[in-house]
Amino acid sequence: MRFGVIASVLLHLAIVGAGFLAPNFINLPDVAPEPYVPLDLIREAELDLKTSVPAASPEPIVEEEPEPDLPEPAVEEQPAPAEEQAAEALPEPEPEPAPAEPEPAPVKPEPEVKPEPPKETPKPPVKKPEPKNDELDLDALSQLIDKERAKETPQTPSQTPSQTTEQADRARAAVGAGDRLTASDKAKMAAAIARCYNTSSLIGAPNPETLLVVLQFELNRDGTLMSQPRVANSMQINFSNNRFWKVAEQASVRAVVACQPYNFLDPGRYEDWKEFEVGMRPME
Amino acid sequence: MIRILVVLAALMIGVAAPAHAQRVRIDITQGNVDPMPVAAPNFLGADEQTQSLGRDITGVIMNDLDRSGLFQVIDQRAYIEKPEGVNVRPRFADWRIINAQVLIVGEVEELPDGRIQVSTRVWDVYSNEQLGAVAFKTPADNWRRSAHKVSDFVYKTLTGEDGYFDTRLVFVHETGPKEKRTKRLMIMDQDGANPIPLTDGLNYQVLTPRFSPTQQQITYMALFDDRPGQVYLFNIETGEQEQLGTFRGMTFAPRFSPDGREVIMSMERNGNSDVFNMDLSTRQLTRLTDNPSIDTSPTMSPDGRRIAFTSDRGGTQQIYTMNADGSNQKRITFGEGRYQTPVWSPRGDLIAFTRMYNGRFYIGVIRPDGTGERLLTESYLEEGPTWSPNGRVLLFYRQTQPRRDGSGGESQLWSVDLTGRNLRRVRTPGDASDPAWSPLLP
Repeated sequence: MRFGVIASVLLHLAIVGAGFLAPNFINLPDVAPEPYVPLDLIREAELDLKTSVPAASPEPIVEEEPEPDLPEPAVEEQPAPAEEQAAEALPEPEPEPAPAEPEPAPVKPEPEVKPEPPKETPKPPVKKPEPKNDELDLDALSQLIDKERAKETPQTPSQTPSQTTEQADRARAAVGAGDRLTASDKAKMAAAIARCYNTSSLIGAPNPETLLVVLQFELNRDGTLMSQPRVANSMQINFSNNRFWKVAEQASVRAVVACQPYNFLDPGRYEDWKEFEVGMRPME
Repeated sequence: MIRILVVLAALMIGVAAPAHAQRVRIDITQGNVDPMPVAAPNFLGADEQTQSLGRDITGVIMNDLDRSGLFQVIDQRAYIEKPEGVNVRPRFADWRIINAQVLIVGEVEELPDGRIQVSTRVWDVYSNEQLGAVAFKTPADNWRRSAHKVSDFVYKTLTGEDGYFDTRLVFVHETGPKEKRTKRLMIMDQDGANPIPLTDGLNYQVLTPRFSPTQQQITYMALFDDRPGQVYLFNIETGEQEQLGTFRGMTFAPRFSPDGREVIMSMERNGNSDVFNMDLSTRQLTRLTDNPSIDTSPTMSPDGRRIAFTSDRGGTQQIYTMNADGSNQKRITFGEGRYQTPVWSPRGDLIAFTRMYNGRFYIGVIRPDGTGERLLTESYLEEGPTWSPNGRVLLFYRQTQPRRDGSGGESQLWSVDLTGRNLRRVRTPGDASDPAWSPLLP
C-alpha cells in the first residue's frame, strides 16, 4: 500500500512538472544556428559581483526612477540621436547634463568611504547630500555590495580597497544593464520599422485604429531576423473574420521583414535587444 | 517518506521555472501611405497571339492599379527575374532587390473551344508565400474584362475590399456650341476604354442617369421642349426605353433602390416637389414626403431602410434623412451654404454631397447621423458625386470657369478617393457631365 501511495504521488508530480516544462518546448522557435560569437572571459570575482548584485537588491529602487537611472550609457549616446530624444522622453535631456558633471565627483569619495563599511551601514542611504536621487541609490548599492563582501569573505583580504572600487563601479554599470533598452534605441527601432510599414492598402478601411497586430521576433547579433516574425494575436485576427485586419497583419509582417537588418543597436548590449514585441496599428 | 516527496517536488519546480530574456516592447501607430510598390511582369503566353494578349492584359492591370492611387507598379525595365510560369515559385530575392512588396504573375492560355484562360498568382515577396490565385475563362475578344477582373482580385487580396475595376461609367456626353448643346447618354469602361453612345438619335435631352444595382438598366430624366420632363428606364443590353409612368407634373432625380425593384424620385405638383417611391413591377406610386418645401434628390441606404434627400424646408437646401416609408424625417447638415445631390455610399457608412458656399463648390462626405463632415475637393463648379461599387472612390464632374475669350466652360469627369487623396481626371471623348457608376459586372 505504501508503494502504491508513493508511486501515485510521484506520477502526479511528474504530470504537474510536465505541465510546467511543456510550454517551454512549444515556444521554441525554428532557429537558424547563431553565427559564432566571441566569448568574454569573466573573472571569477566579477562573476560573483554580477550574480550577487540582484540578490542584494534594490530592484525596487531602480524601478522607481525614470530613465535617468542609467546616467553613464545614456550620456554617451545623447549627442547622436538628438532628434529622436526630442520626440520621446522629454524629461530625459534635462537631468542628463546635470549628473554628467557631479557623476565623477561621488565616485572619487568612495575610496575614503569604503574602508569604513561597518560604520556607514547603520546610516540610512538617503542621508547623503547628493543633488540627484539616482547617484544616491547606486552608492547605497555599492555600499551594500561591499557589506556583503566584507561579511562573506572576511578571510580573503586580498582585495585591496581600490580593486574593490573598480569592481563596484563595474557592478554599478551592470545593475541596470539587464533591465531595458534606452528610449532612444527604442525610438530608432520604431522609426526603422515604421519606414517600411506601408498602410496604403488600408486607406479607407473602416476603423483602422482597431486593427492592432502584435508581432514577436528575435534578432541576430547583426540585426537580421532569426526567423519570420510571429503574430501573437493571430488567433484573434483569424476568428474575427475581419478581412482588413488580415490585410493589416500582412502589412505588419512585411514591414518587419523588409526593413532588416536592424544594425544600429549596440552589439555589446545584445542581450537587451535580442527579443522584441511590436504592436502595430495603421492609425492612431 | 514525506522528505523524499518534498525533495522531488522542489526539484520539479526548480527545473520548471524558465529564465526569459526580457522582451522589448515598442508601439507603432502610423505607417506611411505611399502607394505600395507592386511588380507586374507581362502575362506569359505560349505563342505570339497569347503573348500579345498577355502584354495587353498586363497593361490594363497596371493602369487600373496605378490609377487607384494605392499601388505603384514598378517599371518593367527594372525587373531582374523573368517568370517562367504561373505555377513556378519565383526567386523572391530578385524581387526584393527592386523593392517590390507584391508580385503578380500571370499566364494566358488558349483553350480548345476557342476561349482563353487567364490565370494569375499574387505573391508576397517578403513573406515568401502566395496570397492568392485565380483563373478566368472568357472569349478572346473579352480580354479587357478578364484583365479588370484580375485587377479586382489583386485589389481585394491586398486591401480586403472588393474592387471596382470591372465596372462601367454612364455619363451625359455634351457636344455643340454653348447656346445649343446636344446631350446624349454615353457608356464606357471605368478606365475610359470602349466609349459607346446609348441614346443617339433621340430627340430629347437626358439628365441625371443612374445605374440599377442589379441589372443592366439605367434610369434618367428626359427633357422635352413641349412638356414636363419625365423619368425613363433604359435597358442597356436591348436599347429599349420606356417611360416610368404618365404624370401630370415633372418627375426628376430618379434613383434605384438597392434591390433594383423600386425607383425613388421627385415629382412636382402645383409648384411643389416631394419625394415619391415607385414599385417597378406594380408601377404603384407611394408618396414619402408631404411638405410645402422642395424635397428632391432622394437616395436610399444600401440596406434599403433609410432615405436621404434634399429639402429647403429649413430655409436653405440641406440634407435630411428619413425611414424608407417616409417617417422620422430629420435634418443632418447644418453648415452654411447649400447642400445638394446626396448619394448614399454602397458601404453604407457615408453620404456624399455637393456643397455650395461663398461662391465655391465642394464635394464632401458626411456620416448618416450628421457627424464627421469632410470636404474632399473644391473648385469653381463641381457637383454630382457618384460612388464606386465598393464605396471607396467618388466620381463627379467639374466645369471650368468660362473665360472672356470664349474658352473654358468645359465639363470634365474627375475622381477622388473617400479620404480626399488621388484626385485625378477621367478622360472622356469630349465634354462629360452627370456621371453614374455601374455596379461590379458579374
